[in-house]
Amino acid sequence: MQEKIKITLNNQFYTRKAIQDTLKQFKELCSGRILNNRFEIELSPKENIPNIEGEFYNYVLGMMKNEN
Amino acid sequence: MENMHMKGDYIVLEISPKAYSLESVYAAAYVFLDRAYVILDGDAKNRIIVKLKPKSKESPKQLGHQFFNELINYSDYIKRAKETKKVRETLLQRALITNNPNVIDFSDLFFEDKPDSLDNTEPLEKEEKNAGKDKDNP
Repeated sequence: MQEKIKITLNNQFYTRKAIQDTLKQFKELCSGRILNNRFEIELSPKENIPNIEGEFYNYVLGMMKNEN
Repeated sequence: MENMHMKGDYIVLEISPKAYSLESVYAAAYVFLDRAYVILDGDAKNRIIVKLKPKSKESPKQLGHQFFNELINYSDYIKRAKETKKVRETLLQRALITNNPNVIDFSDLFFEDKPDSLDNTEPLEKEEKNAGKDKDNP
Protein backbone atom coordinates (compact mmCIF):
# COMPACT_ATOMS: atom_id res chain seq x y z
CA MET A 1 0.00 0.00 0.00
CA GLN A 2 1.33 3.42 -1.02
CA GLU A 3 1.26 6.53 1.13
CA LYS A 4 -1.94 8.52 1.28
CA ILE A 5 -2.11 11.67 -0.84
CA LYS A 6 -4.13 14.72 0.12
CA ILE A 7 -5.23 17.14 -2.56
CA THR A 8 -7.61 20.09 -2.60
CA LEU A 9 -9.94 21.02 -5.42
CA ASN A 10 -11.34 24.54 -5.29
CA ASN A 11 -15.11 24.28 -4.84
CA GLN A 12 -15.64 27.36 -7.01
CA PHE A 13 -14.37 25.50 -10.06
CA TYR A 14 -15.10 21.83 -9.44
CA THR A 15 -18.39 20.11 -8.61
CA ARG A 16 -18.91 17.39 -6.04
CA LYS A 17 -20.53 15.18 -8.68
CA ALA A 18 -17.48 15.37 -10.97
CA ILE A 19 -15.22 14.43 -8.05
CA GLN A 20 -17.45 11.55 -6.97
CA ASP A 21 -17.63 10.23 -10.54
CA THR A 22 -13.84 10.44 -10.80
CA LEU A 23 -13.39 8.58 -7.52
CA LYS A 24 -15.61 5.81 -8.92
CA GLN A 25 -13.55 5.64 -12.11
CA PHE A 26 -10.30 5.55 -10.13
CA LYS A 27 -11.38 2.86 -7.68
CA GLU A 28 -9.14 0.22 -9.28
CA LEU A 29 -6.12 2.51 -8.99
CA CYS A 30 -6.82 4.07 -5.63
CA SER A 31 -9.44 4.42 -2.97
CA GLY A 32 -10.39 7.91 -1.95
CA ARG A 33 -12.90 10.09 -0.19
CA ILE A 34 -13.98 13.71 0.03
CA LEU A 35 -13.03 14.97 3.47
CA ASN A 36 -15.02 18.22 3.62
CA ASN A 37 -16.97 20.86 1.69
CA ARG A 38 -13.75 22.56 0.62
CA PHE A 39 -13.20 19.41 -1.42
CA GLU A 40 -10.13 18.17 0.36
CA ILE A 41 -9.63 14.69 -0.99
CA GLU A 42 -7.64 11.83 0.40
CA LEU A 43 -6.34 9.33 -2.13
CA SER A 44 -4.87 5.98 -1.15
CA PRO A 45 -3.10 4.55 -4.23
CA LYS A 46 -3.13 0.75 -4.52
CA GLU A 47 0.08 0.73 -6.49
CA ASN A 48 2.85 3.11 -7.41
CA ILE A 49 1.41 5.29 -10.17
CA PRO A 50 3.47 8.36 -11.04
CA ASN A 51 1.63 11.64 -10.62
CA ILE A 52 -1.71 10.06 -9.81
CA GLU A 53 -2.89 13.33 -8.25
CA GLY A 54 -2.24 15.18 -11.53
CA GLU A 55 -4.19 12.53 -13.42
CA PHE A 56 -6.96 12.90 -10.86
CA TYR A 57 -7.09 16.70 -11.33
CA ASN A 58 -7.31 16.29 -15.10
CA TYR A 59 -9.94 13.57 -14.90
CA VAL A 60 -12.17 15.72 -12.69
CA LEU A 61 -11.85 18.57 -15.19
CA GLY A 62 -12.75 16.15 -17.98
CA MET A 63 -15.83 15.07 -16.04
CA MET A 64 -16.79 18.74 -15.66
CA LYS A 65 -16.71 19.06 -19.43
CA ASN A 66 -19.07 16.10 -19.76
CA GLU A 67 -21.47 17.65 -17.25
CA ASN A 68 -21.92 20.80 -19.38
CA MET B 1 5.64 38.77 -16.83
CA GLU B 2 3.54 39.63 -13.78
CA ASN B 3 0.64 37.31 -14.41
CA MET B 4 2.81 34.22 -14.85
CA HIS B 5 5.35 32.68 -12.48
CA MET B 6 6.90 29.33 -11.63
CA LYS B 7 5.99 27.50 -8.43
CA GLY B 8 7.76 24.16 -8.15
CA ASP B 9 7.05 22.17 -11.30
CA TYR B 10 3.98 24.27 -12.06
CA ILE B 11 3.64 27.43 -14.07
CA VAL B 12 1.05 29.58 -12.33
CA LEU B 13 -1.13 31.87 -14.45
CA GLU B 14 -3.22 34.63 -12.94
CA ILE B 15 -6.27 35.56 -14.97
CA SER B 16 -8.69 38.40 -14.41
CA PRO B 17 -12.33 37.29 -14.82
CA LYS B 18 -13.04 40.83 -15.99
CA ALA B 19 -10.90 40.20 -19.05
CA TYR B 20 -11.74 36.54 -19.65
CA SER B 21 -14.93 34.70 -18.73
CA LEU B 22 -14.81 31.53 -16.65
CA GLU B 23 -16.30 29.75 -19.67
CA SER B 24 -13.23 30.69 -21.73
CA VAL B 25 -10.89 29.53 -18.97
CA TYR B 26 -12.58 26.12 -18.85
CA ALA B 27 -12.50 25.86 -22.65
CA ALA B 28 -8.78 26.66 -22.79
CA ALA B 29 -8.09 24.27 -19.90
CA TYR B 30 -9.79 21.37 -21.73
CA VAL B 31 -7.45 21.87 -24.69
CA PHE B 32 -4.41 21.35 -22.44
CA LEU B 33 -5.60 18.20 -20.67
CA ASP B 34 -3.49 15.89 -22.83
CA ARG B 35 -0.34 18.03 -22.64
CA ALA B 36 -0.34 19.17 -19.04
CA TYR B 37 -1.77 18.61 -15.58
CA VAL B 38 -4.23 21.44 -15.09
CA ILE B 39 -5.45 22.82 -11.76
CA LEU B 40 -7.99 25.60 -11.42
CA ASP B 41 -7.79 27.67 -8.26
CA GLY B 42 -8.22 31.17 -6.89
CA ASP B 43 -11.35 33.24 -6.76
CA ALA B 44 -13.80 32.96 -9.66
CA LYS B 45 -14.91 36.58 -9.18
CA ASN B 46 -11.60 38.35 -8.63
CA ARG B 47 -8.62 36.32 -9.76
CA ILE B 48 -8.63 32.93 -11.43
CA ILE B 49 -5.46 30.91 -11.02
CA VAL B 50 -4.51 28.22 -13.51
CA LYS B 51 -1.62 25.92 -12.65
CA LEU B 52 -0.04 23.93 -15.45
CA LYS B 53 2.55 21.18 -15.20
CA PRO B 54 3.76 19.80 -18.54
CA LYS B 55 3.43 16.03 -18.97
CA SER B 56 6.44 15.91 -21.29
CA LYS B 57 9.66 17.91 -21.41
CA GLU B 58 7.87 20.93 -22.80
CA SER B 59 8.87 24.32 -21.42
CA PRO B 60 6.35 25.39 -18.74
CA LYS B 61 6.67 29.04 -19.73
CA GLN B 62 5.91 28.27 -23.35
CA LEU B 63 2.92 26.26 -22.19
CA GLY B 64 1.75 29.27 -20.19
CA HIS B 65 2.03 31.58 -23.19
CA GLN B 66 0.12 29.08 -25.32
CA PHE B 67 -2.58 28.90 -22.66
CA PHE B 68 -3.05 32.67 -22.86
CA ASN B 69 -3.28 32.44 -26.64
CA GLU B 70 -5.91 29.75 -26.34
CA LEU B 71 -7.75 31.93 -23.86
CA ILE B 72 -7.94 34.78 -26.37
CA ASN B 73 -9.01 32.33 -29.05
CA TYR B 74 -11.90 30.98 -26.97
CA SER B 75 -12.95 34.40 -25.66
CA ASP B 76 -13.37 35.56 -29.23
CA TYR B 77 -15.12 32.35 -30.25
CA ILE B 78 -17.61 32.58 -27.37
CA LYS B 79 -18.23 36.28 -28.05
CA ARG B 80 -18.90 35.62 -31.75
CA ALA B 81 -21.07 32.60 -30.94
CA LYS B 82 -23.24 34.79 -28.71
CA GLU B 83 -23.43 37.53 -31.35
CA THR B 84 -24.48 35.15 -34.11
CA LYS B 85 -26.78 32.97 -31.97
CA LYS B 86 -30.00 34.52 -33.30
CA VAL B 87 -28.87 34.30 -36.93
CA ARG B 88 -27.99 30.62 -36.50
CA GLU B 89 -31.31 29.89 -34.81
CA THR B 90 -33.22 31.66 -37.56
CA LEU B 91 -31.36 29.70 -40.25
CA LEU B 92 -32.12 26.44 -38.48
CA GLN B 93 -35.79 27.36 -38.12
CA ARG B 94 -35.96 28.25 -41.79
CA ALA B 95 -34.45 24.91 -42.73
CA LEU B 96 -36.98 23.10 -40.54
CA ILE B 97 -39.87 25.08 -41.96
CA THR B 98 -38.77 24.29 -45.50
CA ASN B 99 -38.82 20.56 -44.81
CA ASN B 100 -42.00 20.41 -42.73
CA PRO B 101 -43.92 23.53 -41.76
CA ASN B 102 -45.87 21.65 -39.07
CA VAL B 103 -42.84 21.26 -36.82
CA ILE B 104 -42.84 24.92 -35.91
CA ASP B 105 -45.35 26.64 -33.70
CA PHE B 106 -45.70 29.82 -35.70
CA SER B 107 -47.56 31.67 -33.00
CA ASP B 108 -44.35 31.97 -30.98
CA LEU B 109 -42.07 32.90 -33.81
CA PHE B 110 -42.57 35.36 -36.56
CA PHE B 111 -46.16 36.46 -36.26
CA GLU B 112 -47.88 38.32 -33.51
CA ASP B 113 -51.19 36.86 -34.72
CA LYS B 114 -51.40 33.41 -36.18
CA PRO B 115 -52.23 33.73 -39.89
CA ASP B 116 -55.66 32.36 -40.85
CA SER B 117 -54.15 30.08 -43.45
CA LEU B 118 -52.17 28.27 -40.74
CA ASP B 119 -55.21 27.69 -38.51
CA ASN B 120 -56.61 25.38 -41.16
CA THR B 121 -53.40 23.51 -41.66
CA GLU B 122 -53.83 19.81 -41.06
CA PRO B 123 -51.04 17.33 -40.55
CA LEU B 124 -49.76 15.85 -43.76
CA GLU B 125 -50.95 12.33 -42.88
CA LYS B 126 -54.55 13.50 -42.49
CA GLU B 127 -54.46 15.23 -45.83
CA GLU B 128 -53.13 12.12 -47.49
CA LYS B 129 -55.89 9.98 -45.91
CA ASN B 130 -58.51 12.41 -47.09
CA ALA B 131 -57.03 12.33 -50.57
CA GLY B 132 -57.27 8.52 -50.51
CA LYS B 133 -60.93 8.68 -49.49
CA ASP B 134 -61.69 11.06 -52.28
CA LYS B 135 -60.21 8.61 -54.76
CA ASP B 136 -62.35 5.75 -53.38
CA ASN B 137 -65.54 7.79 -53.46
CA PRO B 138 -65.41 10.07 -56.44
